[in-house]
Amino acid sequence: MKKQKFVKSQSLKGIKVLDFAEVWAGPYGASLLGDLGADVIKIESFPRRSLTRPLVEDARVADGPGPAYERTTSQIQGNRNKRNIALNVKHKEGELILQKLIEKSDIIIEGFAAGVIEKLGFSWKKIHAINKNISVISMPAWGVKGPYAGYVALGSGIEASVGHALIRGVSAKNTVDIPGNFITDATAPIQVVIASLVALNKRKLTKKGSFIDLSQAEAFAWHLVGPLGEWTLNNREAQQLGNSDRHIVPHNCYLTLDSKWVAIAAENDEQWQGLCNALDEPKWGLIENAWGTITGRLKYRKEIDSQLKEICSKMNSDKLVDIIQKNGAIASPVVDAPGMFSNLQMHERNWFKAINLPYLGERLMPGFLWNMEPDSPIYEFRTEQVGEHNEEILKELGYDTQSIETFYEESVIGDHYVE
Amino acid sequence: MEQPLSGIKVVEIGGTIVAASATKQFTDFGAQVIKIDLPDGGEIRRTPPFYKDHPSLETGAFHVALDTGKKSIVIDHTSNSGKEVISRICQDSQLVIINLPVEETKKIIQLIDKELGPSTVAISPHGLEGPYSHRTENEMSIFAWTTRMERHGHDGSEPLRYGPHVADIQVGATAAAVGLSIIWGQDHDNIRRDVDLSSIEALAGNVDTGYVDWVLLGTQRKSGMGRNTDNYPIGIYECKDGYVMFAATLGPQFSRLCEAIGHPELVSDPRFNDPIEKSKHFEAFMKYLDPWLSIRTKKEVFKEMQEFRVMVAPVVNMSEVVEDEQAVARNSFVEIEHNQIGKTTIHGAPFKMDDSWKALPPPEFGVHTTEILKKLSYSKEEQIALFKIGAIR
Repeated sequence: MKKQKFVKSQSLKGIKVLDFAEVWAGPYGASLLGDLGADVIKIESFPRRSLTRPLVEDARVADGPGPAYERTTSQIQGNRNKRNIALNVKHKEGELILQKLIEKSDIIIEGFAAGVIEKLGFSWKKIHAINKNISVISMPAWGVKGPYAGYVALGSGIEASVGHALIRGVSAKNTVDIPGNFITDATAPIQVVIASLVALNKRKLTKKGSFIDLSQAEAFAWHLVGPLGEWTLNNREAQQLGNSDRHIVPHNCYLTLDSKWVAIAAENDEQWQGLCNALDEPKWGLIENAWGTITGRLKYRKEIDSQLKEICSKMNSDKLVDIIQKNGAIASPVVDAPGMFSNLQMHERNWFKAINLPYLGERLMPGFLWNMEPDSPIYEFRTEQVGEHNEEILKELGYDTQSIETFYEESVIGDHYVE
Repeated sequence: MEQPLSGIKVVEIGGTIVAASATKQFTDFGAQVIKIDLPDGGEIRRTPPFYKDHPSLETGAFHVALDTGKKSIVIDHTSNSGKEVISRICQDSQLVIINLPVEETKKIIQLIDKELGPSTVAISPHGLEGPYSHRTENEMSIFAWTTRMERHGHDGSEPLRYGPHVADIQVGATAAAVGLSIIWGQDHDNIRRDVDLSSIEALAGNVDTGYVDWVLLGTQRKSGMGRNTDNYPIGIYECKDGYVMFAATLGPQFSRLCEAIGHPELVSDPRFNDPIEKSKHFEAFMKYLDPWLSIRTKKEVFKEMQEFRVMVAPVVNMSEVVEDEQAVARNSFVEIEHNQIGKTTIHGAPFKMDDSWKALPPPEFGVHTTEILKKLSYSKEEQIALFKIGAIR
């Protein structure tokens, strides 16, 4: 077969997805399906403003003209490659429109707390009665079923509840100093894609859609294989190791002359010799030297660490990383955002994408999680504005201009929020 | 019951935690995964912890949990004869997931039939081409490139990685997501695809990066070590028997928290209802919160506060996680029978979808070598010859 060049990914062409989720995990999962070629429609909350567009204290809203809710980082970050209809599903006509969308769709992603979608009148039972081919991914923090159903959390609470918070600090530090993080917002969207594909494959066998109870806690918990293994295999709790590794020396971060941190490791004798060569101390890698073997390095962990600390403090980070890498050992800069943007490799691969954002102009947005031949993902749609595709979507459902106008008048749909 | 992915055949080459995490998401949903084990066992079988701390290719936690249900064949992929076996295994599959050093990965891709062969997902730290493509990295150094590690530290102090190999498993899951999608794609449009997945890009592009904030706001937000006393409560707080994690700083969250601790009057207290004033009165607020927390266990704090829909969660360790009532009610952990360890507990399904997910024990090193070669019609003489020159084990 001849290779075809596409302008967008085609893998999931023809798959229709409704994104009924807010904030990060659900919407970004829908975007990943969009990246892969699915036709994703965001059902934007209306007239209640979506939580993805927060305008509260501490919200991150970029400076610019136009409504502030179109400039929130959470909205812009997690909502590419989908179309938007702002729909009042509590209105009778809105409910009917949603029903028509459900009839035509393969997957619904909803990220409300457990029980909320039922209160909106769209239980799994009802959705499945409308369209038996559709699959619903319901993704509350701790899942739909179980004693914690209905409980609410951000990513930081979820990761703490499955054992991550206690193992990622440094033992000397106070537990209360360990910051929260939001890794579950990154891991849940990936499972949204996998759940969608598993459901589509299952539909081939059963000729009907599935209900997926996606607990964001469980979607992340299995990343903690090592700490769980410590408990189940050896009956002890995993230690807080900071950046060290119990069986690899060196394995740490070091501060350089230009006040930046560099992550350095040598995982075997060969890498260690390379590191020694890079640091102009080739004799440290020889078998005659106490540090030349892994057992020696474990024994002299502190000494090696303090030598590296000393050497790194006299070198600039770029040069240090470069020379260590040239000699075959592991080194990378610990970057902040501008540092990440200075990654030559990512520029060489055209990873950053110049995207013209509403009200904000052209910005270099993050690229995709993968490249592929022949049909790499593109930003077909940059982040969508409230109700941006109302007419287009409603016309596809068979509504005429007259009825669309009436929908606007009766606030069934909208294209802005009252601020 | 037939599992959703039954009939799909996937090949895994690389022996890494990343590759094994990727194919686990296929095999547990019913796909057949042939794991091409490296002659030295590879990273996945050699990474601790081991059962009873006895190093073995069979009893490492990562192998036990992530190689579930796979078939293992040991092949020296650097030899011509080994390569030929690999190409025949790949020809009989829909997807090949590769995570070897870049030059070796490219040689495996060359073995794939570009007309009728399977699609491929090649995972590497920086991607297959470009000035850094040959760099050697590990889970700490890829993580360092993504802003998360820097944000996880605090001003002037040491940056911090996440839990061991958490970043690796996230990359593996990403590879599984795109891998499943291109199998679906090829089924429908007959086009094979080659994915070039850079671990750093897969982590850097996901939502929890600090990059987008910087691009849009011009500033960077740090999560940072240390307690936030400007806006609270957020982060970890001590209670009677341990710690809880709060995220209850904002308007309605803070109001409900005040109600939960029996002090609804604080909602309209001028010390706390204005952001600037609030930042000056952390100590005063703790006089209300601390006594309430100090007489309640983390479980009680969690349940009582959640009744008021306050975002709080217990901070637990692994022995507590496996006994957590939600985990027990949902079968979040499952037991598998391992022939050396006996019954052992691993994490259950990443999402619940009827009986679609099932974890079977991991394969012994090379236990399926003969079975797979036989199926590919290698004669006994050929199998012996391959074994003798060390191409298989």
